[in-house]
Amino acid sequence: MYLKIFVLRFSILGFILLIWEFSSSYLPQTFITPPSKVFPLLLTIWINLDFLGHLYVTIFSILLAFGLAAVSGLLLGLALGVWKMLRDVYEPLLSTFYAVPNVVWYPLLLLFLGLDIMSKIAFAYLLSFFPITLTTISAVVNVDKVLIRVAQSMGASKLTVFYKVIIPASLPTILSGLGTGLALCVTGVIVGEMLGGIYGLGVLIASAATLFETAHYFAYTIVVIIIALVVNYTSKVLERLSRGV
Amino acid sequence: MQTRVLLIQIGTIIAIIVLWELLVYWRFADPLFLPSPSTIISSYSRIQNVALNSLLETFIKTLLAFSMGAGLGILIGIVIGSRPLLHEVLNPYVFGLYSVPRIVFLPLIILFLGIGSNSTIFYAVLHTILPVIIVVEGGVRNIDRRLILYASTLGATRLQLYSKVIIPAAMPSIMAALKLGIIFSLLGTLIAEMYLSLSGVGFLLQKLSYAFKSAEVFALTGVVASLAIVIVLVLSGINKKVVEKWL
Repeated sequence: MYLKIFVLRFSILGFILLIWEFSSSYLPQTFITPPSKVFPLLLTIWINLDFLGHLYVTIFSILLAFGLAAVSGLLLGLALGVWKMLRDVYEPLLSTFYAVPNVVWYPLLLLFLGLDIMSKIAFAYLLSFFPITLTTISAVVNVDKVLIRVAQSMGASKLTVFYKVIIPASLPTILSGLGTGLALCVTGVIVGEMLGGIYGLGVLIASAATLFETAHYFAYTIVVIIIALVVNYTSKVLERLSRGV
Repeated sequence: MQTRVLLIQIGTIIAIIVLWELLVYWRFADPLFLPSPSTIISSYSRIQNVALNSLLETFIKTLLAFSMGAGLGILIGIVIGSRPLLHEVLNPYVFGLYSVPRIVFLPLIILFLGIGSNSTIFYAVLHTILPVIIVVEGGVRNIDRRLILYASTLGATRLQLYSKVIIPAAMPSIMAALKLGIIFSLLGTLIAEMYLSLSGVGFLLQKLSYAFKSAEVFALTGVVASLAIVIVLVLSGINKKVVEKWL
């Protein structure tokens, strides 16, 4: 069974690559570049210092935005999760704000912060702050009340209950929220860079496509896909580990 | 209690607006970048005509993308969800594609379909279909296996199994997927319009922003955001009614 699934999975990938290779011999080179030309390029772009600089800017923006969103989202989420009054008032506001298609804020951020990386960081922050906060709130709210009651009846103070019961019990859900947040940071930075920027992978992708350098477009796109998959996989592993413990 | 919560919510929003107005009034913020709420409201009349046209156009594109993306997504979700082998094989691709920022495919779509509504709608369909597939698939997979077993022991055909058991049982998740789908298709349409297009709200927003008309950008952003909120609230209401009726 596992072997069959494995074989089928890889045969789909092989099938896609084959179609890509064959279709590109019938279409003009500006439209599509065959994998046999993209993958060699993918190996050689790493010695290009210019590319490494753009890659560095993108990864730096992603990590900075995620760090800011994680710290503020966790703090706000824990606060709203613990205080019922605050939660009743502000959780509906937060989730309403979250429902707005996030890209509408981007032109405003461009106006405020300019084409440089600050607008991308702010946009990615905005994208990941809300899911992190909302997931943290629901994680804290859904902690088993019996656990809290038992700890209290054994004489635990409020602070002890918070550190020894609420945090450990809500950790898996919080981590999954952080995983979503990190993935959204990647999306936010790439979207921001592609919609208008100076440095970064998104800028490279957009300019390669505009200049009809299709081989470069494919290579940069594959780099972004790899980054996204690595982020996704890491957050899944972390979440699984925290559920196991 | 309920009214008190509502009062505090409204109070918070009013306090933010007043603070904002005062910040600009006392020149703590440069009105060139941060126009005051009163200027924003008065600037709306200047862009009203073009804004309404763009909104209508974006709305039509969104609905087209939504109907195609959600329809296909529900179909694919039901098929993948009801076949364990298909789920095992395709799951990494669906989730992988979902975790990749889909905007990286937009230049390729534009290369093939040209600048304009076609590429915008295609991108929005791509944007809608993945979350819909994931939600519907999850819903179908979580159906109580016994229901399917009972129906098939009583001699239900494959078609009856889908129409009488699987689809009704997955209805709450299909409704949730529809709600998610409309937000994602609006998001996809806006992103594609902002990236490269000739019309629509996204295009207008980007153009106003590059022309540094900050009050107009604020006004249009406010209109789009509030429309999206209204759509989501209405859908949540419908969703709740349907789910209540269903359960």
